[in-house]
Amino acid sequence: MKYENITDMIGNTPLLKIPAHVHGLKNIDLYAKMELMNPFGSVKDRIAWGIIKDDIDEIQAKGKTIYENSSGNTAKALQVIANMYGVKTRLITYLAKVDGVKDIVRMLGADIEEVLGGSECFDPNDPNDPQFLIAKMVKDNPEKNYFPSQFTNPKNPDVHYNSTGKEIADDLKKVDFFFGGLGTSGSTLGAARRIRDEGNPELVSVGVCASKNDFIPGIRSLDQMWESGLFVKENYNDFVYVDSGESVDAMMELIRGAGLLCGPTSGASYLGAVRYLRKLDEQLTERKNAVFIACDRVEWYTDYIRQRRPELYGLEMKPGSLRAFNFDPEGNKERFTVQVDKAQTWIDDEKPLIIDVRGNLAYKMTTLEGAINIPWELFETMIDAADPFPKDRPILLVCPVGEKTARYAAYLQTRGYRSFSLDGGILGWRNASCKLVKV
Amino acid sequence: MSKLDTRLEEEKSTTSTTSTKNADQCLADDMLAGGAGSVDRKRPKVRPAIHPAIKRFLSDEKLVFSLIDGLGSPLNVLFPEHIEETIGRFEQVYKDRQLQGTIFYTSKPNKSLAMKKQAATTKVGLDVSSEGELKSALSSGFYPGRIEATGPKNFDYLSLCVQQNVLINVDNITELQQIAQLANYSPTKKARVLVRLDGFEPGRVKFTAQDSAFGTSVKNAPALIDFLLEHKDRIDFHGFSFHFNAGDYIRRPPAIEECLQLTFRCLELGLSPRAIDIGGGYRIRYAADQDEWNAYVEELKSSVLGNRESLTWNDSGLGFHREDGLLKGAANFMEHYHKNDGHEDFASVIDTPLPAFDGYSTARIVSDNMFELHIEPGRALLDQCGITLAHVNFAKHSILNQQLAVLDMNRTNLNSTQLKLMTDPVVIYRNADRKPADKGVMYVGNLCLTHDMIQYHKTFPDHVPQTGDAVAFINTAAYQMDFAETHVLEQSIARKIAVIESAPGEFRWFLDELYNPLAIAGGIKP
Repeated sequence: MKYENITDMIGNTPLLKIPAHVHGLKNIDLYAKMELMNPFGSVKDRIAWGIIKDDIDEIQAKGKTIYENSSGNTAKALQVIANMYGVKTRLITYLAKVDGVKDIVRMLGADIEEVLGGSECFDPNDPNDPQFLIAKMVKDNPEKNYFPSQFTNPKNPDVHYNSTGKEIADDLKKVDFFFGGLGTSGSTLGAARRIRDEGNPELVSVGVCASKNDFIPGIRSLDQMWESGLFVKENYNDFVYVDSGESVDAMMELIRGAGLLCGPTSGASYLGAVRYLRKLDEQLTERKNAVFIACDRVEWYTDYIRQRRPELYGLEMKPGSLRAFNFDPEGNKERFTVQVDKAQTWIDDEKPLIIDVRGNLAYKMTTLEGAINIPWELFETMIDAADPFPKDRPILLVCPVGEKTARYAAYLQTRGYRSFSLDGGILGWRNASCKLVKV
Repeated sequence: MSKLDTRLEEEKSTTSTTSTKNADQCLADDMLAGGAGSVDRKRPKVRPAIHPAIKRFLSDEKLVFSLIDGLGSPLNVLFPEHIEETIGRFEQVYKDRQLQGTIFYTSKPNKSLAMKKQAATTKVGLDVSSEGELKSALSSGFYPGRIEATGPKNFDYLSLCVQQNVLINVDNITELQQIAQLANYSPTKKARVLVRLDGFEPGRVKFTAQDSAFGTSVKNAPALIDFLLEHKDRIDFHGFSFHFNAGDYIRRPPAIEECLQLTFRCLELGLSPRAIDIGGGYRIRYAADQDEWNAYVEELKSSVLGNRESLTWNDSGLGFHREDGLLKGAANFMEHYHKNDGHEDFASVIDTPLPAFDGYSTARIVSDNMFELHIEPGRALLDQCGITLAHVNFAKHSILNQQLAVLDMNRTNLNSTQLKLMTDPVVIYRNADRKPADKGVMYVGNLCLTHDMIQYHKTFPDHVPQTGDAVAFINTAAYQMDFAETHVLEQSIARKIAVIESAPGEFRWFLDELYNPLAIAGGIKP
């Protein structure tokens, strides 16, 4: 298929049937609307282009700057389009919580300004709200500034009415349930309306919300929805709440079970769908169709996922490894430690290899005479991977207070090293006025 | 369920059999009942999180009424022993990361001597912010080496700081010059100082600049450093400090990063800074239940939009208003429920990787370089350390027919700088003859003013509080109970008492100034 413009590739995304063994529903076929296949990577490509395409020539001609309240997927799509047209953007937003997406947006050339929200000793008269700030700037200079305003622009749901909703209705004919995360609420609002208008008046539309004080990218809590200009509560038959950890679990179910490399927000919508449908599934006598939005891909979110599910990153324990070592800090302490008051004599007699496992900066500032520096992350990798030190020479390990190295020394002794930890660490050494040098 | 709640639940289950009464059964008011279960959105409540010992105390109605009858209304009740629990949580964060340094308890949020004396029996330091607070710190058992002096300083405050050789957190270069002049009169001929900075470059994150009256701009650090170098003989420079407000966590790592970079710069130039002070601003979880709190805020917003009857006095909206059918404005109350406790937020701040230090965390850099980390978690250390009791003078209806309970206290007795306490008070009924409070109750104070609202939101106790009943506002020790109290209209200010639980369900009380934890612990006081 040939395209003249990358923006022509926006929309017309496929519907993917999720295998029944993955979601476990007996009487319902569950489909993912594959919005992650949009060219800039998310469902937001539709509204970014949909809102500005009629105005982009004028924006370009007049040298206007595009302002928007986003540092996520909308920002990304807007920035790509702005780059192609040689138009400047300025993105003003609450502090972004997903650095992965923000880094890409910045890499694309965006000027991101983040304002603080939710501080608790705030001045109630401080209008430090991005939406408010942008509206004010644009109002001050309408000839030079352009604000698509995804949170309030009726074109947002219109775009989904004209494209997303129509595509789903065309592909599936009968749609019984529709699930989407509530952010601007544009996609759920517009698409659900169209599906109803295309011969599914009984459509059950369910908004998926984040639990309050939790954070799922692009999804808000119901409480925050009142502040969105587009939100219409009556449009939804129901709401489901999900939390970020379980959304990541659901995302993994899609990734590993269905080969669908979607992000945590898609996981949230999928989870909301399965949770809602499971209650109804048993009682159904005829087959039903349900659709959820798979809004973007997983790659942006590695840090976000790591914070919630670190075990996905292979932190398992190998038998015999340092991590699996069961250390008793009090048992036979003298076997693997050297006391500060005897340490200098011991060093003079034994000529040990002295390893300072603190960071390189600290090592350069001050350390024991003759010590080499292997920061502990590196040290742990080295001893887990191989035998990096001579076994015939004593080793003296130094860390800030002697706790970390006590464990290392005891562990290395089990592998046949003559390893010892400086008791009390370099702090104890300094407090005893022993000799320190600058490297 | 949060860790704290779990711990409280466990404690309750082990002690409820021995306590004089079961807290959950004896009170008609369901504020003391356990989990929220289902939320009643028609009559939304914000149940306060309550320490089990405070629940046991409030369940001893005879004691509560005899105290408030005998000592007057309002009455502030402090539970000094509870501060050891909050301190312990922060200490554990230090211990887990092998960090040295001092946790400073802060005088500012509460004037209680009992709390300071209790804190003096632990390892914490004390952060004072006026000459009066410094004197009271010394008389509560803190020796000068444990005291840090912050805030804007007049000559008398500054002189006493220098003479007592306390660690002075310096606001600006003028103050530093004055200290240099006074230092000759310190016992060591040297003054110990931290220097407070602000206006940090936000690193990768850009901020719309917020102004602050405190500290010195980081842009002027070179001049400060020159001054410190010139006056090395008289000024013992301990390090840099900053302080951000509660919840403002995301700005902290870039600020720490810049302070650490300046610290290393000072070391190169021949100064010997050995500490970094990252301030306080850690939160309290006031509400007992997340769903209940969410529901209240949702219903409040919904009421401002006109979807239900108002939940605020005179439909004031608590900071929200309706504009073109949309909700605008910002809450003028704190977030009352957070997933994390203050010490967990502290841990995540110091565990954040710092890009300028090869991704090492604050904890790592501080520990590696044998620096000390100082913190001043004023509010968080006072979590569950105090309540405010008041008599009900009478119940009546407002002109527009709102049910009111008029308390023998006024707005200055429960008043922070600007942020409202939104948890509902516990009602302790004295009268057997009770009327149901179907349409909600609002609490008014005793000032001769058109309205002296104690709280601006509607609460839904089971029954209307009547003459002689008592109410207890929970968790008022930090900034609420005495921060802004005055003798307005010559009304009395609250007495303070310290209450300790000598055996489960058995309480002893002392006038605040007569409480002596050291004598009790040492066994010389019965």
